Amino acid sequence: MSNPLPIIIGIVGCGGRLGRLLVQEVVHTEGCALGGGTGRADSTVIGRDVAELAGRAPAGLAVTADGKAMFAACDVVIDFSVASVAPLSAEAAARHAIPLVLGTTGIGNEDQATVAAAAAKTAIVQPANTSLGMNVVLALAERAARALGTDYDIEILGQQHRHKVDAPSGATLALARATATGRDVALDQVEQRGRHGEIGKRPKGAIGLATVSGGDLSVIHTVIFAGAGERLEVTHRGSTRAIYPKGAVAAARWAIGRPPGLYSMADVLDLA
Amino acid sequence: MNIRPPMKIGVTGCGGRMGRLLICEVLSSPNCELVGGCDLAGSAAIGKDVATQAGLEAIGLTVSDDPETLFQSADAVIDCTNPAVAKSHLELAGRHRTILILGTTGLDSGHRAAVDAAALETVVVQAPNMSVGVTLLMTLVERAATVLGSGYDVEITDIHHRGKVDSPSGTAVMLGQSVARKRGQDFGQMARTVRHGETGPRRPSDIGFAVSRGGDVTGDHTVILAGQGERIELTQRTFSRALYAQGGVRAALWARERPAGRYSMRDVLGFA
Amino acid sequence: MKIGIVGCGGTMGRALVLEVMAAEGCALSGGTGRPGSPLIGRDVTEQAGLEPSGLIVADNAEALFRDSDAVIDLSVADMAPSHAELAAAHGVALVHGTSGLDSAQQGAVEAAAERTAVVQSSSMSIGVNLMLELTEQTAGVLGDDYDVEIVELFHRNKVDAPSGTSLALGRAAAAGRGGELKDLAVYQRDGEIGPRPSGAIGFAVLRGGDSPGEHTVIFAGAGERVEIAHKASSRAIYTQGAVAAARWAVGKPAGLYSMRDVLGLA
Repeated sequence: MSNPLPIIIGIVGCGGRLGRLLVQEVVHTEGCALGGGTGRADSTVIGRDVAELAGRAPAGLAVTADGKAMFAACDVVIDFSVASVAPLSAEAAARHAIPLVLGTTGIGNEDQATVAAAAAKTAIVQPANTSLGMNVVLALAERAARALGTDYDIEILGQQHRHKVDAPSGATLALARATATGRDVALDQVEQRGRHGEIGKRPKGAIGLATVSGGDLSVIHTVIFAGAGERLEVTHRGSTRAIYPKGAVAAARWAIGRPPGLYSMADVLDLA
Repeated sequence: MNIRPPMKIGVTGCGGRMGRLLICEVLSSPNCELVGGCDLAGSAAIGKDVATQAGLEAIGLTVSDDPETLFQSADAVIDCTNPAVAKSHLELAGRHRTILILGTTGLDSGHRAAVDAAALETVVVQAPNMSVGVTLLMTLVERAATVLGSGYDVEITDIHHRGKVDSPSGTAVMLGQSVARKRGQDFGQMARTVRHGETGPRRPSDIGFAVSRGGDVTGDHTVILAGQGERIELTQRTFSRALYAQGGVRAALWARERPAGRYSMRDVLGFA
Repeated sequence: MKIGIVGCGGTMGRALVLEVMAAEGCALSGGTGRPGSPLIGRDVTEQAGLEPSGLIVADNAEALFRDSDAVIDLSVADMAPSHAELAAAHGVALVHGTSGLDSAQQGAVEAAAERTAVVQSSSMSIGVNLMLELTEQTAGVLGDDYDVEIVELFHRNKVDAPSGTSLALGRAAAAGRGGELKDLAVYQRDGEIGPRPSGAIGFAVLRGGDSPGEHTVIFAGAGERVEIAHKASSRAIYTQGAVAAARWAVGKPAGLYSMRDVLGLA
């Protein structure tokens, strides 16, 4: 019995912080091989060796600005770069009939429609968060919200490092949406963001979101279900960014051979 | 203007995780000069360049298995090894009048005599935890124990990564000892490190310990002071071991030209 | 010692009635409620769940201040000025713990303190007051390299945000660094917030369940965090503290005091 051929994975935006971690993860995961990497045309990383850029031994692959050759050469592509690139990656994946793992946040409605259209032709995994632990917490949050009812007040606290420029975090919003789903309501009807001044009593069924910002590494999310006489808290603490590339590569492997469609991390982890 | 020459610092156990971080910290500190590193005979680091085995460019010093030479040539040695080896290093420090920053944890009362003997001849900074946050935590805990009195039960939790072999941690023990001291009690009598089965009611003077081991937690400590109707919790969480290395070098620089004696990180940081 | 309770029909008010009735050496002199409230005319202790005492809930506090050695006011901000004025006029010690006073209301309390003893504190518990001291000390020691964030959780019926205690913690942290909370506070984070301003003190307010109040001050630095937390499991810590403050204040010279004076922490 011979070893199966490795899965060839390309990385869009391989020069960024997450891009480099993704390259590292592909390089040291058995059964995976690096197929190429792309960067912005005006970036200084163009032409440099993709693996060397990530602190590994040179792979003989140069960072390019044009992804066409990379999409043609790979079995699957991972894109965690920037929102403006997302529709281009989706269309390229559809054209080359290969799956795409698209982890970029902040994609606008029009671009998302392009992604959805591409997903009719190829498998696209769009994870809100690729860590196994966080995805389990999302599933638990929805389940708890469904089981506990509105006698329990739901509050979500996200803690992020000082350099993050937007709030609430994607994970905080994902947790809020999960609990809203558990209650069969639309989040925007019940959410309470920011409390300052005379806020009045808390409306029953509201879902509160709050953000703590400070320090460097901490990424902590807590979902609180507060009732009369007891409280349930589920907390996820991320101690290293490496949990995200792990999940992204797992999603890439899972997507090979899947029928066209738009998938989530819950599908990849079989948590749906 | 009197410009002092850089302080000559040696690192024992330099092949271990803390040892390598200390090497990096000494090499990047402007007021320090790395004069050597040593490790136990038989260690994989022996014979390698001290810096490359720590992930940096070679500096032309090789890891030796002879601590005597190191203690002879250094102004200060930073030691994060193990209790058995630390004892011999204390003896070397006293004999050669080398400043010793003792970061090794898991020391027991058997080391006390060795520390005292060395402290007659040189500066010994006994610092099982070299971070600012933990040192500050000690002062906060002492103030809390003083203000809140015996109506508040003291419990200490300690969470560390799966590889830590001593329990409770040296830091947790130090925190408990400082509470006992403030209450004028014998820590050995008050400490409850094991609770199993029918324990009987809690004695008001008990200092309880709850120890957890798992994952990659660098180190979390919480001191709970629990009274009727309220509790205070004082917590410190470390995410990066580099903090300890920074503290170790800071202690070495502080110790320069101090009179012989036994000191702690509180002395180094100037906390009352 | 005769102690009166203004706003004796609210949650804290009823808890205070119970506390005064149980405290040795203290006698309840009466209680008041808001004009038009259904509690007016009812028996003060009966409406708090005890045997009737014969004291009737009044809608005017004049008689209460006349008949008391000390009055405890944990009611509402808009009544603060009239209660403070009555305390000063009758030379009665006042324990004032209402949160959310605006500058005019605060001014009235301070004016009364020139004529009688006033103990004013956003929290009456020894634990919280210890926390204020530790927060100020820690902020001073750790400096601006550590980001300060204050997180609170209160029961679902608390109408002001952040809590008086959170604001006091924020002031303590600011003072520890030699600054002022009003220059540093960040109360809302929504949308593009930009990088965190150096020295900012952030507030996160959670509301839900029945918690009598939990506060955590986080000092987040590069590579480590220090956290100071206080969790109340019962309102008794506040009512006990308020009665202790009342007993301490009777006979003290005019002035504005805090719980730190009462607890001997100053």
